[in-house]
Amino acid sequence: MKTPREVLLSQHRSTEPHLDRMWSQELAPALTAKSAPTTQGALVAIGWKMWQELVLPSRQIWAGLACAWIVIAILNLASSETATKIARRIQPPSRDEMRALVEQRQMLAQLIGPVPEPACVPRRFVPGPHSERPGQTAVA
Amino acid sequence: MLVVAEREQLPVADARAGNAEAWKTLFRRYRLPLYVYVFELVHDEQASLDVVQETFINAFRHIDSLRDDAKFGGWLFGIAHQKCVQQWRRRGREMELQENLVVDTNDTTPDPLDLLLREEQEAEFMKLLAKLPMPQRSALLLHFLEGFSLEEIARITDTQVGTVKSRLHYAKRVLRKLLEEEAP
Repeated sequence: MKTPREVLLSQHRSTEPHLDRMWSQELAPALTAKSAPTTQGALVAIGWKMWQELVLPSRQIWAGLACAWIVIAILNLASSETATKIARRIQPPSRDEMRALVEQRQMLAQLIGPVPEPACVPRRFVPGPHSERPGQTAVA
Repeated sequence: MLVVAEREQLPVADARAGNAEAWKTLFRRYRLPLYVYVFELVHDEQASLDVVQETFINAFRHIDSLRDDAKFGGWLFGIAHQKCVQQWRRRGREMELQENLVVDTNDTTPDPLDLLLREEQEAEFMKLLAKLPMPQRSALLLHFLEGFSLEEIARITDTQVGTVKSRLHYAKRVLRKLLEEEAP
């Protein structure tokens, strides 16, 4: 007694040499031509492997993270203000305020006198003892 | 014993990376079942060899579109099936793609080993298979040759699972009945 599979395969066993010839004459050369190593192909293969091994097994977690980021981005966009909006909201100081500020500065200058600019004196190099120089430790 | 592709350790990942040896292993595994499937649908030796060749060339080119390596067999038969349908359409045999189905949804999932043939029944089995309408023959061949599940056959033939179930049930009933009639 045979299974239908065995019957079907045995009926066509004689075609196997034709199929093997097909491999050596047509398919193997086509495959060699197709699989000539290319950087792009290698990158695609690596990308695919990473996708299959890193992303696909935990796709629910990735989807959850993506949703969380979308929500955060939407909230951020909804609550943030653009620079022009902020600039529009902050008004420049009025003329009176500016005048008061100038008067205050003048009054301060009259009270304490002009503040002298600190003189820029170049530091002179004073050699110190060898033991205080950085990075030079005497080993006995 | 029936060999089910999904339980085998096939070097699909290596083939994806362009390994010629891996492709050779896959070719050796599927060449005959694929040829039998195509031949029993188109009944033309040269056309069948051409379809097998085109199927493998397509597989080389589009292996990146295969999502699950374990489904390589079904994917390969799916390419071959599409090519067979194109062959049939080219020959203007649309009528033979039609079928009259007796829909029986209470049928359980069939087992490809539940039909065993005696030596004297083999020729008769082949003749009866050839008489079945193409969609039923296709479902039956996929079921017998690779033990594909109903879902996989549905995917390969681009039909509904319920339709595949009915086709298999009907085809097997017809086959069994005719073989019983032939038995002495």
